[in-house]
Amino acid sequence: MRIEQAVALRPNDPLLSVRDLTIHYPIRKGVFARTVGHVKAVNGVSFDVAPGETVGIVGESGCGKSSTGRALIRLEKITSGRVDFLGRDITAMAEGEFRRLRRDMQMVFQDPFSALNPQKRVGDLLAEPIVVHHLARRRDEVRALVADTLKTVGLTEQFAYRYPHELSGGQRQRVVVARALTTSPKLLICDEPVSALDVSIQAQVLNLLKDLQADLDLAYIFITHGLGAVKYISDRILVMYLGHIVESASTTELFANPRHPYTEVLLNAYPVPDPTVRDRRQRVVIEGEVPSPANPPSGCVFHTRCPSAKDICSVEAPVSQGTSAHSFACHFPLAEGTGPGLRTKGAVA
Amino acid sequence: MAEKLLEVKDLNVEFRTDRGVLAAVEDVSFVVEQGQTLCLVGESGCGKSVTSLTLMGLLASNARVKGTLDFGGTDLATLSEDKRRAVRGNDIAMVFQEPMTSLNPVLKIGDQLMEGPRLHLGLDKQAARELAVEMLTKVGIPRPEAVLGEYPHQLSGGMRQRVMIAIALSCVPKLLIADEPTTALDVTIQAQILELMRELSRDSNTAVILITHDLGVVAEMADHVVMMYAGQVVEQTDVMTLFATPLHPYTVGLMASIPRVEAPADTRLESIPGVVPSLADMPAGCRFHTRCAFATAKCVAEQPALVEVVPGHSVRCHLFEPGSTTPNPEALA
Repeated sequence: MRIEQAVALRPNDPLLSVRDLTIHYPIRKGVFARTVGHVKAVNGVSFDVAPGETVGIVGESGCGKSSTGRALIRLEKITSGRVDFLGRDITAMAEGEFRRLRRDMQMVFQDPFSALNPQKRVGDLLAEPIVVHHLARRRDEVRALVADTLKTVGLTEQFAYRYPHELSGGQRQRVVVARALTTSPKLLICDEPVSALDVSIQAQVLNLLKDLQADLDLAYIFITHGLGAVKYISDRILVMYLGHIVESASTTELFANPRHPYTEVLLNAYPVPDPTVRDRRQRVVIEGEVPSPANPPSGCVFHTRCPSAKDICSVEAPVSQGTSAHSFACHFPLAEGTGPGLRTKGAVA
Repeated sequence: MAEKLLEVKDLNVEFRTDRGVLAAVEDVSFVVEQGQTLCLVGESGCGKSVTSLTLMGLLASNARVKGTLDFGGTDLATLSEDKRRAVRGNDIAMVFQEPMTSLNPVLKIGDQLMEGPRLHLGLDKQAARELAVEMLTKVGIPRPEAVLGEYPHQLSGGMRQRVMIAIALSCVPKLLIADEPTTALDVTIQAQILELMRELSRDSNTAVILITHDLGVVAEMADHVVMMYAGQVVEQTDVMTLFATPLHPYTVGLMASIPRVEAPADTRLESIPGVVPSLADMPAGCRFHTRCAFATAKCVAEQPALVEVVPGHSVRCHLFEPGSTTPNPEALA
């Protein structure tokens, strides 16, 4: 039914390739809306996503993870940098052309309560992308496609006739995922997809995303602040702080062998659901808060809170080092094998 | 054994609404000891916040409360509003979830911080101001003198939550109720706030009722845990026992459904099927039976009682009988 993309990917090409992505929002003041400064939300971010891969982006509020995700689908204006999707630069593309490409990249938003139009039935919500992208013409074809998609996310056909307010949070998030899947995308950008849900429902949605990936060969960009969820779902993780990627590694490597002090702090701040380790954990509680992205610190952006900062850190921004499999931007990285992010004082039984 | 500070006994809270009488909390009983941290754990709609608002006397006027709330010899449930006001913010203080909305946006931080001490401790303006500066310093706010003259919007979320805690602790309460105090905060700030609460409760021997849905926070903070589901207590014991031998299928399911950082790769999350039932439409029998893998005809027909199966460990499930923590499938027949 669907027309294949004209540009085919070569086997080793990344699905998505981001180079030096920078997003600065102007701060305007006064009657003439003069630009008085910039919020430097994202600064020189580069990464690749392979077909079928899950890349997690973690970081605290204001680190630029959501701006990055939204820029990839052109919901934010890119200041500079290049984003190639399916081998084509989307930053230079006309809107009409991009709209056709957008079928292959879809977005799942955080809040399933505000992401669905309350006046439309689920069936109509799902039919919209089908109609917009001309995936089916006849009404019964559209209906069949909607029913299929609902089944894919574990809902019955009957849900097509319900309004969003009749659904629970978990069901709504399934509908949001279903709507993103109607166009059979290759890449799904999920911005905090489970944060608004109850704990027992989060597991349902995470498992659903995992199963869909296995069945449909989807690639995910999974944006979250929850370390447990990102570890569960990601193949590779990017750690962001104040608009920069400070460390990037495979999930196992990152948790076993964090090299950037911020990564260690983040891993350490996460409360472990095991009361027996709480008195043995070596806490690295850092002082202070994330500085404003409108006025980021000089040198390394983390130096104001970093436990191992020295003079050079406030002067010179560190360049990314390490390998493409595990890179980190720090003047004084933690020694290799410093070890599990969840360091404990005694041996863990 | 520490001294008993608060005993909640057979608490029932109902709301009269257009859709009839809704029971939000049913037969909840627990004891808080001095200096101890008790965690009320559950998902949305389980009644944990209603329980805490009842303790503070902050329920809406359509609420009906039954049961006793014995706080050092006085029953909070029968107190007049005047006497209640003398307790609230003085002996019992509360920190709310949303630091963005729980401070008054048109009052300076200093005015909000000084109100309690002036009212409850009878301090004059000068002394209250000194106390306010001291409290802000204690909760780790830089340049406390200047912050007194600022408005809430000038502070970040973490700072506002620190101010909330400073306000709550300024009258040296015997009991601090914290309703999801860190849910709206970033994880490094959460670690700071939890550490702060731990320190302050240790230093002033304040008992804490911590309401949360995050089992990680429970494991870090709790001495005692009350698990709630659909308005009822389903399991209750000390934190070590709960994590070592959880009994109720809901507790077990919830623990299996959190993605753990320390779990080996490729372990699949167990999820609890279905959704939490709504108050207006509670299932008969055991309230968890619609989502429980072990449910039988008995669970549908008959509501289980909360039974202390071994000393200090109670569970509301037909699978368990007094004297044993091993499930007995025959009990379901």
